[in-house]
Amino acid sequence: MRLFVADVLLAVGVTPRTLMKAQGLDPAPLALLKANFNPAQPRWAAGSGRDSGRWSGGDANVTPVAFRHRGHGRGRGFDWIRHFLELFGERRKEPAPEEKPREPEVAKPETERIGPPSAEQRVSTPKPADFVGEDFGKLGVGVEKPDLEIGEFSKHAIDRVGEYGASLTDLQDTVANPLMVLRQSDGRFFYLSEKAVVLLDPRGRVITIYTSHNLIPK
Amino acid sequence: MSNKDRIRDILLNDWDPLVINGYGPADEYDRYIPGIVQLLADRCTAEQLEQHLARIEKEQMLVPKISLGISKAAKNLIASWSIG
Repeated sequence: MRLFVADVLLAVGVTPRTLMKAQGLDPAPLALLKANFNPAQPRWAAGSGRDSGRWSGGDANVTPVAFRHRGHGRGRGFDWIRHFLELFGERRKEPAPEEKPREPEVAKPETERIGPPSAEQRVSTPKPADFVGEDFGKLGVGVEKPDLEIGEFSKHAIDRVGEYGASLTDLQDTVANPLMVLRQSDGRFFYLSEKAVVLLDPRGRVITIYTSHNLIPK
Repeated sequence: MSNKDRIRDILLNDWDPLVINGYGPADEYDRYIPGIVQLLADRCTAEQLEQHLARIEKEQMLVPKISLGISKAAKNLIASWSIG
């Protein structure tokens, strides 16, 4: 996923965990990184009679980039999330790890084996289905893409289109291929794409639009 | 803070019929400020301001129901104008 797309999604309140699931990534590392856990750290195998399961040497000594500055996950604004996604981007480029020596045996974590994605894995773009049921407060709740097309524009929306110089194609594309759709309390739909936000009423009338760059992280 | 800034704050924080406060552009309702300033300068009542905002919602924005913040916004607009 391009980082600015992640920025946009994070700005509207998508959690890193949701973002990772939408990318087909296992979100378990979020908890592991916070716990300073390194699954590749050799451990004594279970049932070995010794300190089975414990790390065979020292501690994990892992300080992820995302958490190296003042407190875990409490960096300035969304910077720490950006660092974390960059870290994962680097991991996706790494080759598959070589076989480790058998002694001490590397214990597999209890969750799915965490490692770089396979060569076949592609970077996927989030889609509305990834956010169904997610509650973004007054902005709305994630829903599947409704069967709506842009019909007419409100006067307010027409003025906004003129101010932003937005193209009809971009707006139509936002409605046809959104990253996310939220249903608001009054029945309106909030469509988000890389280029724009389009607010539609249930009849497909455009209430307002603005560019994704105008989204303000809270 | 200028009159315009105070009015903009009230429109965003108290009125906000399009639910954009905190997420969208801060100038979303700026186009309606001149009309509101004119009403305030003419010493309108809070009820008249409410009707004005309701008309904007219905005719300009196609909002189906009057937004919940209209009354509070109208009162605060009157109060902010009185401050000067």
